Amino acid sequence: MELDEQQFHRYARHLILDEVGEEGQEKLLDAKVLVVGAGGLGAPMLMYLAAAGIGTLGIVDYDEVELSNLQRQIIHGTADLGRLKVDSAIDTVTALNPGIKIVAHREMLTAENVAGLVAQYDVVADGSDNFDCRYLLNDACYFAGKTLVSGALLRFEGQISVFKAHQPGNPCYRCLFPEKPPADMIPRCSQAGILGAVAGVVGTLQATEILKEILGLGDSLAGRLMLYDALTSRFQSVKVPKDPDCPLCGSQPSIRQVA
Amino acid sequence: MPVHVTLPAALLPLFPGAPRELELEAATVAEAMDALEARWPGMRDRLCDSSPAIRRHINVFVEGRRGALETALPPGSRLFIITAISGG
Repeated sequence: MELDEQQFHRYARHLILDEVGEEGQEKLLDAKVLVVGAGGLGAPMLMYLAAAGIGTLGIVDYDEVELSNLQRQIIHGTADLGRLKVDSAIDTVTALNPGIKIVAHREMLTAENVAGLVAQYDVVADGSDNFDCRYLLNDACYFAGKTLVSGALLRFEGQISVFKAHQPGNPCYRCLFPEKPPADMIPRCSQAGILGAVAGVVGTLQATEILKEILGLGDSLAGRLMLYDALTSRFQSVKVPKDPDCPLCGSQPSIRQVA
Repeated sequence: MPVHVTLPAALLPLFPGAPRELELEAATVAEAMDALEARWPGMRDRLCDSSPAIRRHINVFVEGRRGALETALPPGSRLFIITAISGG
């Protein structure tokens, strides 16, 4: 794909980066990214990815916009209350950049549809709000050989990592957290709260990691978990080794398919 | 010399008065769990199962490396405890 005159102007600040340039921008325009969740994390991710010129953006969500979402989910406005989040998100990103393709997946992520969804994209981003989705995406991305850019939030804290366990030596989400917590062991945002702008920090970091993955730039967060604590204004990074006994990507896996 | 402990932010609302960071005397991660339990009864059950082992949705890092209950805590070391969170 060659850039047209409008695209030269739109992406001018990318093009003057030696690390991106025309070739890099063409990679972005050719890329297909699936964002699961059009909520607190999905909002900044979708807006930055659309603005950056990701050629095909898929959005998975089945929720409607509620008033309590608007404190952090800045892709939606007050006039969108009651609309499907996917539809509201499409309007916002199309207004930002009408030159990209948006694919709406107005459905819940399930064991039945996750493989088919993941297969259509190059990179997958987890902006979901529950553990079931997180394990489904991890397992489906591993089996499909797709990179998963993961973010999670609670209160004043964010966690970000990149999982590409299909490549030798890299861990998956299950290497980090083998099992989801027992019910009610860890509160959700609806119970414990979330400082709105923290979603912006973490979602924007996810968007940055996705752009880096597509452009092949810098050091990936694969094999590391980055933690952001808004109260202390501190980022910390810990190494996440591959677990040889991981039930998914270990040497003797017990998980053979997404379930 | 005490060790420096960072607790999972997600658990703080469940234990009023528990700070995000604290110092305590412990030679192993297991001893640190004992010390936390003594200060905030019920905290060990949130972090460890009955095996006993660190729960599978929890991770402990000692000086940036993943550890287990038997991992030694050198004087002045940093014990970082994190939990899986799912908010999006």
